[in-house]
Amino acid sequence: MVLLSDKAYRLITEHVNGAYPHEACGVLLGSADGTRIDHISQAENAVKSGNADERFYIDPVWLYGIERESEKDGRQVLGFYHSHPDRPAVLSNEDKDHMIPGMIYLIASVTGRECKDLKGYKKESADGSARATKIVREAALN
Amino acid sequence: MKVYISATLRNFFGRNRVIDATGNTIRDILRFLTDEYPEAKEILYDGSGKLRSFIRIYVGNENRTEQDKWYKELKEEDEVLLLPAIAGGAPQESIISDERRKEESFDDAEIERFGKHLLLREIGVKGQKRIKAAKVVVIGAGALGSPVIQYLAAAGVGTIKVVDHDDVSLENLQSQVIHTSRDVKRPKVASAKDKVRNINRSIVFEDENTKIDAGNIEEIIDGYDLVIDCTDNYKARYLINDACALLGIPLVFGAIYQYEGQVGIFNLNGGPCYRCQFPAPPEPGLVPTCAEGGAISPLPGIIGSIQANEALKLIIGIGEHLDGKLLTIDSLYLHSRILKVNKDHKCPICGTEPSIFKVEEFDYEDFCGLKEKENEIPVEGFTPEELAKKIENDEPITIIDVREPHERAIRRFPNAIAIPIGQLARRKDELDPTKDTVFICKEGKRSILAINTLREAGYTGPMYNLKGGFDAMKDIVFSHEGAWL
Repeated sequence: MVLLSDKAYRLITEHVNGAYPHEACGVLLGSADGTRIDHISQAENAVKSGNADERFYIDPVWLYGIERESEKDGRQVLGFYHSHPDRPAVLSNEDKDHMIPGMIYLIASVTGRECKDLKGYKKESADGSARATKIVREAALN
Repeated sequence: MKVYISATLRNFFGRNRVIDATGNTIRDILRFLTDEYPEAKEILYDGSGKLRSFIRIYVGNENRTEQDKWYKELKEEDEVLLLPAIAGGAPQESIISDERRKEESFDDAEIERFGKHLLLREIGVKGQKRIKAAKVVVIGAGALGSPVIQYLAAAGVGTIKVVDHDDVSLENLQSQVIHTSRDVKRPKVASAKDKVRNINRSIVFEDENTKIDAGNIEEIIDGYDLVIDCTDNYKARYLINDACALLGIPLVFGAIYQYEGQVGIFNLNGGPCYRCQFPAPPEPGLVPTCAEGGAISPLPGIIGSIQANEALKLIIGIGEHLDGKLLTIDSLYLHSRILKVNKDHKCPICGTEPSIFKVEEFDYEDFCGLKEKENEIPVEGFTPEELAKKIENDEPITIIDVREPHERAIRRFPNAIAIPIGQLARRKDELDPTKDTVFICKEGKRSILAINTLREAGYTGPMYNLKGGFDAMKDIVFSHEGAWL
């Protein structure tokens, strides 16, 4: 189970809804123990060609910069989020191939600039299968 | 040399942020890292030793991930960065377009009928409309076709075409649950049509009582959204695969044998085809067909139901499916696994330089070993009637039954010497080369293999095949029972 702060949830939904009908992507940041996502960093979708509505790529060097910056703030990269415009919040084969074991992957299903579903996934080992991970919004706990 | 390890990968490098690695090329540094941190090997390389698709190696701002850049000498001040490539794509779309979906509507009865689909969030009204708009061809109305046709009809697939040239026989009823005792001797497509009409009269059911061949297969499937292969022989599988690959129609493949079954999806959006996984069929006679080898009754129900389920997921555009994968199920020990099917870029039909452009141009009979090779001496045979006459007239013949012991236990061939194919060559001295020898099996195919095996082993006596095998002999009635019993 991973906690998602209200602020992080708001920032993710604002980003993915605003990018619709294109795919949006970004980095999930939070506590070093990996149990709470409290901030995000919007990434630019490096897929420039015509299929940015169904593919995304985060520039590794940009990510390197984000890692160093967030470390200064005492945060850590916990995973990544991206959206599936007009498609369900399930992993595609390409998503699975690129998953790093132990990282949290959030997928937002967006239809008509509204995030309809947000689901979390994790892979335990490089050759293992991806499993759904429970994401709990803090607002739901209060 | 300082190597920065991305926070996302640090768990595999002893949680180190920066590692001082020995070596002045990327090759050497990677070797150092995998030696020092055994866990790193698993995250860096896949099972075949290739760098994983999500690993990127940078030197400063320069991408040096490609292996040919690993040998360049690094400078002391260079910083090597081990970073991840974060990427992904949208999940599979439905094979039915939004335009076609929007043309469909439901009446009250349909809303009641498909209520349980409408309750599922992933299917709902949109998904059910896609199912209604779908046009699916099922080839084979036998064991696999039985669950496939009935579930597609029950699920509400709008147009179902069923192709089969056979009539229903009594032995079919053990597994072909779409047919009943009353359907024996009727065409299978007619029986299937009745069942579908009983399920839902509004389904457009197209029956084709024809045998597929190179001349008609493309015409049969052209214009349909999906083909489901429910046949039981290699020639049909290659014919169907090739036609689907050429016309760009996805294919749900299924096969059963004794206690095991397979399901896979081929030709989906330029994905691998059946030939990528099975470039050539096995030698004829080596693998008995389902009709010869048998199959446990519910097995086609299991495999066919998975085929129908895969078909519906493709139509609705949900979940994960067997595109580029082959599911194998062992029903006897309840093992199952999913094998990855890679696209073969040298594939003669879907590769980068294809050599087959039309189904007609390819000789399937020859490819599947069904044609007698020119340099081979043709095998002579007797019809059941001819053999029966020889038996009645007490002619001096030797009958060799090449069936396996469990097949002989079902029905014995009187006065026959039983020699399974595998033992023929070494037991050839038991045959009398001065007498005519007749070889029998279930369907008259393995007996041809037996004759060829003995020829190769150097046996020179006259050999004949029983055409159509023991199956064809069943209806022969002898004038005096003594000759038979």
